[in-house]
Amino acid sequence: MNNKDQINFDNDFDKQLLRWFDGDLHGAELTDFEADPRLIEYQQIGEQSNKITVPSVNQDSLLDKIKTEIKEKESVETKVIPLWKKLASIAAIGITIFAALTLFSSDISVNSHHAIQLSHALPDGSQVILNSDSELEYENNFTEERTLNLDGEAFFQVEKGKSFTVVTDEGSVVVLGTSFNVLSRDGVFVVSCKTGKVQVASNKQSKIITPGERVRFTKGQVSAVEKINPLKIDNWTSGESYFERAPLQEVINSLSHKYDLDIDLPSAYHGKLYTGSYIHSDLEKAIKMVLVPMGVEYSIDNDKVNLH
Amino acid sequence: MPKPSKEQKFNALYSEWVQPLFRFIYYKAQDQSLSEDIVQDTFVKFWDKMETVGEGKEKAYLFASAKNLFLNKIAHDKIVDTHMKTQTEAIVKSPHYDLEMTEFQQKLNEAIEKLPHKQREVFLMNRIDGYKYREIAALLDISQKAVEKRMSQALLALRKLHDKI
Repeated sequence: MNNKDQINFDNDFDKQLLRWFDGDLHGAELTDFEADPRLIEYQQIGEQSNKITVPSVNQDSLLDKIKTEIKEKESVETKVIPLWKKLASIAAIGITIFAALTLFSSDISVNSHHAIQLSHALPDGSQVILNSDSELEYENNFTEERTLNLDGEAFFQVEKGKSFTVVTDEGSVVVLGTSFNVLSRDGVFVVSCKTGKVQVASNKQSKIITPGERVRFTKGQVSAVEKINPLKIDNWTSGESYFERAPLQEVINSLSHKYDLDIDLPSAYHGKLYTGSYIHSDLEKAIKMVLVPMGVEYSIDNDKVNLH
Repeated sequence: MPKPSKEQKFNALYSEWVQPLFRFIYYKAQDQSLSEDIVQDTFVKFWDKMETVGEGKEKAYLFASAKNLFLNKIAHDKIVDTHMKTQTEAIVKSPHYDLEMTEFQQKLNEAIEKLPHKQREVFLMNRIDGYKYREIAALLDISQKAVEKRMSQALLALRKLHDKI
């Protein structure tokens, strides 16, 4: 009797079935068993499940990450070094840095022009998407230092590993492995965290933000950390810039860099906050999307947008 | 012949075990990046402990350590089986399976995903890695009887697919 709801260990068929899956049936026993009509269903399960492909790891890049982490851990275990040795080694580091600067000073620079967005892979496997009219610069030895300079706006997806630093004119951002957005231009420094943890520093003030948080520095002064929608932080990388309670001036600046425009925002509108988005594919629609909800009257004359 | 350095020994063990270890965790976690993180942590920890792990015991050590890291991770994040069945996970996973699947294959994949992770890992270690029950028992540090029981339960659950079609 074959009870479908329970595999009975005393049942010969089920015992043999288990052994069959273990490749443990041989000779006549195997031939007899494989002739059993009850096997057909299990045969199908066995064959089809052999076809399942399981993903694999990129073993070289994972090994690099492992070695980096091991090295880092070992360097943290500090040793007490006599002062004279310390001074000697500092002098040696100084000489090495000097030599490195003079010998290998060729930096890598990535620029995006107006209306162009660039996706760039960094040597450590991290990804950067550079918004229009922005510039990114890093040195040849990036994998060792993981430090780069940014002017403009970029979204970063950082591979796990040692600290990763973004230096801008307005402040710097330090992370371990996460994704976040940095906007640094026209005196504004805004960092939004999508995943992981991000440390932001400007003008000796430092803040740590977590997913769905944004911190803003205006002229070096930090404002409170705000909650935003983490799903929309990198919306601009897919053709539509999204803003949540952003000063209208910042939105106008963003439009200007995107479409290469020249817009003066009358002082009456300074301090107004905008929530919404504009598209990257149509100038007139984009302007409409920003200015109409804010009640700003305007006219477009060639590439000049006049606000009234 | 000179004795291999610690790093050479480590590299050799890494190449030998990284993929099996990854699959081992993946069967439980069904999440690529989580599984990669655990494999990374396992080998970082192994580097520190290498000298204390006896010759020939490395494989058992690596699997036990990966398993513990996985259990700590789910205890820590409270990600139980349910988390692994979210919509996004399913979408991420689909490209790994054959594009043209028969209805049966699709149902089978779904049913395997839904198995309790203890049954799923035994079933897939047997089917995909071709491990014998005895080897699975050693790697999971459980008895062979327990492996056979989990395999039977998995087969029973999958067998029910035929009744549904």
